[in-house]
Amino acid sequence: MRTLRRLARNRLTLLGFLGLLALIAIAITAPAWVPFPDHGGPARDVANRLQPPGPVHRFGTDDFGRDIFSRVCLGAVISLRTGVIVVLLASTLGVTLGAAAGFAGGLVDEVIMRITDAFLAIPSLVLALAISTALGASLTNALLAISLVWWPWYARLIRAQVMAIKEQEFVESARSLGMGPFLILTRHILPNALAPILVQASMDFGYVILTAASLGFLGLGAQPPTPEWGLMVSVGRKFFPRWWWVATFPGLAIFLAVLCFNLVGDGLREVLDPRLRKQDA
Amino acid sequence: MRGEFVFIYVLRRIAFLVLVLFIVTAITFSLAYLVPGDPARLVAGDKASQEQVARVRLELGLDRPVPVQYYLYLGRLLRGDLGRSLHSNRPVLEDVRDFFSATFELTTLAMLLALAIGVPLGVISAVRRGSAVDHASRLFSLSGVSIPVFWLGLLLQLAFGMTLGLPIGGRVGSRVLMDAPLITRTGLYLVDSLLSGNWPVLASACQHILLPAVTLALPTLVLVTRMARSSLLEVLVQDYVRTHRACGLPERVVVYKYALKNAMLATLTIVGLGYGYMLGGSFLVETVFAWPGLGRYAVSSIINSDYPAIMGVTLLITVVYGLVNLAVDLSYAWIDPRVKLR
Repeated sequence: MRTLRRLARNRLTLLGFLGLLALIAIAITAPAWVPFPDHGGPARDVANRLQPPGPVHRFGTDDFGRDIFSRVCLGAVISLRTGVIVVLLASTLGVTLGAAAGFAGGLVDEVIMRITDAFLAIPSLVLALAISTALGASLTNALLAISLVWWPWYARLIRAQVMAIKEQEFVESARSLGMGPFLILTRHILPNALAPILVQASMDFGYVILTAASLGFLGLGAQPPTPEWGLMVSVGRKFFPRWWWVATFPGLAIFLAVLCFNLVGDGLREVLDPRLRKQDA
Repeated sequence: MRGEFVFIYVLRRIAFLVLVLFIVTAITFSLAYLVPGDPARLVAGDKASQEQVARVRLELGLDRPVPVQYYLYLGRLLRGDLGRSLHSNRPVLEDVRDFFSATFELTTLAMLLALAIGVPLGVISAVRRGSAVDHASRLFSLSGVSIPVFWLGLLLQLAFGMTLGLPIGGRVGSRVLMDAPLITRTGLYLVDSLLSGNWPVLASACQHILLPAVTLALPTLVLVTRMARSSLLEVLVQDYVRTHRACGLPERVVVYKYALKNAMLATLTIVGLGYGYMLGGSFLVETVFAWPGLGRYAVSSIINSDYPAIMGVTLLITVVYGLVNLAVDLSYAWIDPRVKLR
């Protein structure tokens, strides 16, 4: 509760939080109220192509005459889902491998951590590009590729936690009671080690969405006619700068969504990291 | 003694880099084979006959078991053979060599910009902590890491290309280059034109590189600002700073002459990380600004499913990133004798 109050005291963080709520609301309810719900798909309205923003089409229309406002709102759910799936996949993989490394120690630790280091030694966007090219261009493959480059951060974090916790007395007593290593790890160590993972995950949402949009922009993510924001900017680039609205509004949506996530993530970190708290008090 | 130690350290890091490259090839190679589809058909093209496809398969060794193929591929890599681009039909090594200098020029200038602007911004917001300037700097920082660079590039094109008439694509005006041909020695247009005193090309190259470099610099600039701010804040509460203040030194001298030097060490670590962001970002920025570098080459290879080319670029970028980080770590130990190389 105190944490929540402290979060709310920072106006920027609060703003980000409200923005996120709005984003989630739009993602869930958009199909029910956007002016042109069928424009999220392959619909065409050639008579109205490339109309500038106006009273009917608030963000203008694209090259197929589709309402960009409707498409941007319908695309919110894609970006949010991307964030959730990648963070879940990457953290599951990272926690499993990192916990195994930290708990087992020795050779297992050495092998897993060297692989982790190797993954971290490659610029993540470049590796994600290489992997999604290898898998073939689609949104699902892009999600897989991003998850594959993201897990090492979680692995490192959880390994350090597990190594610190496994030396503590309550683990020792569980062991002396004859508890097996698997149960000790899952019942006693992991629940105590997960907090920093949750903070990291909350901060990662924004970056994941940004990375997915970048892959979409390069043609490696969602494919037309999906209203994915990165793909929409990529298509709109062909009509730039004369028909500037086609690329501008989807890009603005990416920016605002990622900014809200980062405002909240940054606020969370400041509240939960006692070192920073003292410094800024 | 120390020199010998550094040498062993460098060797170990390079050995690790080789391991990294090995893992990159293993990941991408195995993924490429997990995916359904016939690579021989892809190479031969849609219109090729059954026999042509079979011949391509034999030529590329695609009829052999996958582990054997991987082994042969590694053997070719060790001899510096990155394969042949399916699209340009040239050896990938030659292709990437041609495109690398453009990317190197762009990323280096972007890094210099990020440091030159980011450090002063960080200092200001640390010195005036809690002020409106500091809050504005926080919002600016978070915006900087949230903005999609490909979109920022488009906006800058709209804002400065249209109004100020700045060029929004390419490395240098083609007509300028025709009037005053450039002797390329380093492949870096800014350096080459400066060395040969070719002022028209230098002016044109400066105009061309400005917008893409600013676009690429922004996310790293923001990281540098945050890092400079937080490390300066940590330094400013230390005893020696208090002593300097107690001796009556002006605040300006304390901050800029004594505190900043120590704060810069932590900021330096961000350079390696930021360079990685930039290499990734160059794929996007080069596409937006039609910058004829490695990133654009890679993106067009992606569109053409030119797998050998993509692999080549990925490997090269991994090497460059590894070497930059090695250089950063070495300079870190060189500047601060307390740092131990592990």
